[in-house]
Amino acid sequence: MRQILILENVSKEFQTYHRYHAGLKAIVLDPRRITRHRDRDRFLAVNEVSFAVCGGETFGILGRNGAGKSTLLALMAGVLRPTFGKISVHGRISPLLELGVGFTHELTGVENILINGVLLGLRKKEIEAKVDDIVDFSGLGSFIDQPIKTYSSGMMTRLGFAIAIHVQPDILLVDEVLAVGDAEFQEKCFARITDLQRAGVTIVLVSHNLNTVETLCDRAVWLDKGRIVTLGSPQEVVARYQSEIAHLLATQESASVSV
Amino acid sequence: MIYPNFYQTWDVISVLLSKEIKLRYRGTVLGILWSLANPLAFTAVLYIAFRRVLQVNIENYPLFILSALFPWQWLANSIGTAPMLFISNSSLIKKLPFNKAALAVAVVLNDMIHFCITIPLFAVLLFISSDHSPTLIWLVGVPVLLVVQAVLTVTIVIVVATLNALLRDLDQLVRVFLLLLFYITPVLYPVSMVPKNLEWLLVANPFAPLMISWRALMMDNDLSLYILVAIGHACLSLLIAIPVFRRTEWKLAELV
Repeated sequence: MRQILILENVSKEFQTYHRYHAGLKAIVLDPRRITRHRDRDRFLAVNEVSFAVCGGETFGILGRNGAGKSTLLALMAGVLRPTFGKISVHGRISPLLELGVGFTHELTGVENILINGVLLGLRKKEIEAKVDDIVDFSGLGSFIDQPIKTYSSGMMTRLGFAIAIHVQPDILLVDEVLAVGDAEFQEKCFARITDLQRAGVTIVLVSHNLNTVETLCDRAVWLDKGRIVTLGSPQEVVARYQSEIAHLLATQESASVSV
Repeated sequence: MIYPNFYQTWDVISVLLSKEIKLRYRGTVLGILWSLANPLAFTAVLYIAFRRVLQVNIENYPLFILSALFPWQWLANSIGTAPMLFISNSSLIKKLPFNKAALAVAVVLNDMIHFCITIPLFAVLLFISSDHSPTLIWLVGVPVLLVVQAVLTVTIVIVVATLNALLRDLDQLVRVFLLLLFYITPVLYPVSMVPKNLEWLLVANPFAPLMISWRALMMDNDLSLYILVAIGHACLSLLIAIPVFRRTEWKLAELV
């Protein structure tokens, strides 16, 4: 299989203390802050990560909060640029980092479908052709012509998901969004993801749900403090992740007992 | 690497623009008429203040003001929203890889369309209230001035929006600067009132050549040489904006 998403020694550094954010006054009073670089003001969110995702593969990313998963996805999406290393993408990438990005609450469902689809990288004509399918999938019926400020949060996420999944990218980046809607809608989403997999779409998936990772993914990686801990089959990675969590909980418990 | 292509960016601009247009007057009774009400009210106030109270003697004073005030409003509205442009769209910028310049272009085009609506109104007022009416030269002058002002405004909006993502103080500074520029630009008074020793300001101030050209075109059906100065300012501004934007665009997702 051809590798279509390649990460080579990718690191991302953030400045925790921003030299400009203190405002003009702070800079006028202390001009050196423009050029000052201090190590403790930096934070490595992603540290020397390398892997390659093959065409048609579903690739899972596991890790605790703050492990760098979302930063990694944003880097792949091209929203952030790596501080070091290189990312090569071959094909159209659709970043699903958050459902309903750019939804305008005053506008109707259909109007939002058009805006969202174009922002996700489609041409206007392409998204116009898909509106009916999206409306069907979302199950919103006649609500689709109402301003979305009248929607419940569940309806809004359903619409967001329906749009994202109809964009038909070569690579779909999904961040923790599989757990939306009621049981029926979730079922529909899983079915759609399986369809996409069968159609040969490459999926990179960040999830806290170990079950999801095990059933959907072909390979998975476990990230901790920005570094890769394990990379391999989802069963293997999930097993190691679980035992680590169990170990962590056990040590915490014994610590609290000894206190 | 990520931007699909040029046409897709135009689609982004067009959906953002149609969103802005739909949102601006949604729910208001008078709708788009509000974009006329503001400058007309201002002109009425000025007419009373300058013509009746201070007895300024300029022929056709209300139209004289409007001929520069309408284009000024476009410019000032766009630049006024510039500081918060990237900040208020941070959710888009943090989550989607698209050309951020599209946000600036959409804002400027929106204000430009609102300005364009005032042109026929102005022509009618001119026809009714004076002996000169529009000639064919408008067909040349209006598009040229629209393009030059659009380029100048987009580039300024991009630079201001980018810098304000770095340094939030700019929001306040821009308001002060716009006010200052309004009074040193011949909008309320004719070029002939500017003292000799301050005439360099008419060339140095990036907005003055444009406003002078609009007035020359609309009041006297004249293509002023100031158009060339305005083109110069637009090119200069483009030369500044492109490198500033190229360098900072990818950082915006971390800053806003």
